[in-house]
Amino acid sequence: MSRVGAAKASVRPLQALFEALIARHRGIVFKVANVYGRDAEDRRDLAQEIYVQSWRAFPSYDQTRSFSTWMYRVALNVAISYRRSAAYRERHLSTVDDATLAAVPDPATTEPDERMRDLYRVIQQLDDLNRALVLLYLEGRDYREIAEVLGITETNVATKLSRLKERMRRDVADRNS
Amino acid sequence: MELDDLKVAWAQMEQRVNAAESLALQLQTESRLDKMRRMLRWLGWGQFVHCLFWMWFVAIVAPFWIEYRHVTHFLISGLVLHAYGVAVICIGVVQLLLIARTYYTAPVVTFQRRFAELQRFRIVSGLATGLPWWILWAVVAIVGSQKFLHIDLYARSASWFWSSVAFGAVGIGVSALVARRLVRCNLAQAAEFADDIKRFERG
Repeated sequence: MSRVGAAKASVRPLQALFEALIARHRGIVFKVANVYGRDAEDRRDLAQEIYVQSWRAFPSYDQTRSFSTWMYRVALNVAISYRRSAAYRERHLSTVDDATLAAVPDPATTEPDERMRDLYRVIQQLDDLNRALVLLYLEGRDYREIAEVLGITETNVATKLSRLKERMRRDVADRNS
Repeated sequence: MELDDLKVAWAQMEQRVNAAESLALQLQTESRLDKMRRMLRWLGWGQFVHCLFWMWFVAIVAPFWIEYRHVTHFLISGLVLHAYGVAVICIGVVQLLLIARTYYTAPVVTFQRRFAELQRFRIVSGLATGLPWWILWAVVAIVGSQKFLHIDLYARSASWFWSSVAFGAVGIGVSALVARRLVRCNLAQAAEFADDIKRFERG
């Protein structure tokens, strides 16, 4: 077998494993892209960028460890870097919080959509790192995994979440008053 | 409204997003991966060629100034280009090292801190290696014409060289002024983000 042929053959099982794992954890990509992308086009670009960088980093994945933790790290790192890139800033020179809120589906006042709007409002107000924290919390990840993904201590995670909850209570109180 | 309440809304959003976007993304992923592989291959070659070029450049310049060490303007020109070539190689190596430790699988805070450092280094090194070309082109012309054509440009027209240097100095000044605003803005953003990371780490 030629060297090129051998190289292709060695990539195939890796690619098959990657595709199987990605298929199982596709939701992580969608949710991160949805939280960090500002419009549909942005979300699509971001999701694809996450796929590309995941595949690129995949040879370094240790199969004895949790794939979701690995995937969250890659997805969040790509998303935050993407938002900080010059290309992104050029595309979104204006502040778009209102536009994002307007894009939230169905402006009806039924309770689920009200909560969706609240959710988006909360997320859009956060900086990139706190946004990652809230995303992991909403995903139901425990403090240990959140700490592992973000690279901070569990105590720090608990403190930050507690502060965020307090801040939300104040925001709601201010809006109601 | 509590953060815990939003988990329900989050689960609903997940269903909508999955239903609406999964198919479209799945269709595009495969072709994108193929494109990415091709791009990486070219990027790897690009870095390789870049390193080779500057090594070749230094390999040409070093024997030149040794050979012409008795002619002051050739000695100085050769040394300047040699120093520049070595500096560019060193910057390239440092940048490669910074890139090598900035991998997406690192914890978010670690990655973002390293990414900010890499960005800062790129901005500063880009300016440091780019601006000197306002003058370096004239030095390259002197060395190149002597090396390959055996024509001593400086002896023929020292005034041309010095006027080019003067023009280049003005060019560097003007470029530096223009770049300063842009760079300051980018550096300020990088510094601001570095502060955000520190605050986030501290808790």
